[in-house]
Amino acid sequence: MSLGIIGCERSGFPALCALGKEEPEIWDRIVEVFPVPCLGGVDEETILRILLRCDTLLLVGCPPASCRNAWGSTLAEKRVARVSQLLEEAEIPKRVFCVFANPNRLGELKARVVV
Amino acid sequence: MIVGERKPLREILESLSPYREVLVLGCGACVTVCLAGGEKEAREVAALLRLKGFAAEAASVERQCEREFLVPLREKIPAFQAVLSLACGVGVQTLSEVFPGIPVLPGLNTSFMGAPLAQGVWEERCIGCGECIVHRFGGICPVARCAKNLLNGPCGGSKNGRCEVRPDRDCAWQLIYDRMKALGRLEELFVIQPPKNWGPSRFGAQRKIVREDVRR
Amino acid sequence: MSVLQELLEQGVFVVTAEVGPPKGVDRESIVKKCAQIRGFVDAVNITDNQTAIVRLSSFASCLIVREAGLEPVMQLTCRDRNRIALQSDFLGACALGIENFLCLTGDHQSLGNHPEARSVFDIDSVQLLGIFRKIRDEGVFANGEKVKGEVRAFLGAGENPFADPLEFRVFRLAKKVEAGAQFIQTQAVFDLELFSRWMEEIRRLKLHEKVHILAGIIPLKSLQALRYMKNEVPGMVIPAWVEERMQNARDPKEEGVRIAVETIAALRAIEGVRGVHIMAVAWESIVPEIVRASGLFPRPGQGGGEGV
Repeated sequence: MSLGIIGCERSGFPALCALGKEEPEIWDRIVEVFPVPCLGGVDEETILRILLRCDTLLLVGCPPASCRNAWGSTLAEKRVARVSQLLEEAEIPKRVFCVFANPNRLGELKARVVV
Repeated sequence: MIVGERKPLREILESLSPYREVLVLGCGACVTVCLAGGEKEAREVAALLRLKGFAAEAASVERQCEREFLVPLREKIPAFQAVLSLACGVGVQTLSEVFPGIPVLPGLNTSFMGAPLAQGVWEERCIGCGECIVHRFGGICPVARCAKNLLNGPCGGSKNGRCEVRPDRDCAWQLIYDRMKALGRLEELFVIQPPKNWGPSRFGAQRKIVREDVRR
Repeated sequence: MSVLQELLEQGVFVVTAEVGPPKGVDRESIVKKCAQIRGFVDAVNITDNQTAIVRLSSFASCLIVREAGLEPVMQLTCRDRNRIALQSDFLGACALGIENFLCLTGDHQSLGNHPEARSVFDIDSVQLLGIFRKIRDEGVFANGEKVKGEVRAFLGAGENPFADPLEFRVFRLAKKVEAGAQFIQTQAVFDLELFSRWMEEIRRLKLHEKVHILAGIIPLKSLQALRYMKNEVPGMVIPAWVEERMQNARDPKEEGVRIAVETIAALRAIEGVRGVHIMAVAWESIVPEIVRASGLFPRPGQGGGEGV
């Protein structure tokens, strides 16, 4: 199962790096990595484009309450939900998830990435 | 504005199944506003089609209902086997007229002329009867908004301001009554409205408007 | 002049009933229902694809009713036919001796068994009354052209005193009277208080002198029937006490009849109510009992026949 990761510069991307140090095998499965200023700037088309090159895409970012741009993570959640619905409707066997993480909070990310 | 909704993806995929190279064409007018077929939606649908194995590209024009905006696509079109139009029914047909040689599939179900009540909520307001009489009803059109288009309403099925057809549908005549009462014009509703002349409507003979004064 | 009109103008407190045609060609079912109520009613309404469910047409059913020896009231809605068809059916009915007509808007097709059908609603019930009246009184069609021959018709309309906006209902009735309604049959009355207030308004506008008002009655067969009506039928107001009585009744049918008879007695006492319209849906056989218990039997000029 190939993974794509979009990580926000503030929390998500650093979280990925921290996890990568702990569990270097994850890099075998991760085929795409995109650091972005904020998850709120990722639109549905981008998500769908990246899904061409992986089976599962994770949008990793600040927990909603601590998003530096206030609504970045919340917007990302909505868009991910929308895309998930489109994928289901079109019967495309790919998945996209929102994951909230930072270097001190790796539990959720680990669960999604580590086999 | 014209309001429509994207067709179910399954339906779109089925109609595109004979093809591989597909152009998804959005429209910058009404369907952009109702978040159904604008450039954003065209790009999303094209990306989805690519995930389904189509060689899909997205593009968008100002208005698909006007030839002048479609003609520039002349060079692009031959590269595709079909066009999925996300425009309203008018745009789809104009596109078909301008490019009769390529299959044009509709990607939307066009529904009505309406207005947004809130983000994500649109409601019908006008059915284009061709003879506007809303002023007789305080600015609320019974032809479009009453399920039975009564001119001497309400019917016996109006309850708590709701139409008998659906509990989430306002009774237009309750709205008219409230509005005319507030305006102090209730007696105008005591006047018997004569049968409507449906000639100028979609049930009549000709639906074409020619303005000689602005023709070239 | 139709029998119904004559009786009303003589000041008789009339009794009309309703018969629903079959969902097929079984004319016998109509004949049977007529036999059950013959002698107990002055006229009988035939519904026109009521609740947008396809049934044997009102027009044809009226002919069957007349053959069975009763006076029919033909109901017409605006849902399925445009002004061309409605005028045409009117001429046809008049040519075949049908004399009473009830002009209705019609239940929306989405509520019926063919919800995918288009509706017509070319005109509404007020306009329909006007058109029929024009044919009868001025001898012209809606477009002004002459109608060949004379037309005799007694025109009526429905009204629902319990629908919203409540305050407007009386004015809507006034419009129907102005348009040509000579009699009115109301939606079923359970809430006498509300109905009395409506009649007060009617009297205030002197409408009771211009139109004959027949109050609707539906005898309740069961608590289930009551709940169905309360929740599914548009424009029905059923007060709590009725539901309570039906719930606590030892014999619901008996209680339903009792309530109907009590309501009729109360209605007779209201000035301006000129009769009752008994809509014993799928229970036509109960009509004779209700009419008897209400002291309305025998009907004038019908020699006291026995309902079968």
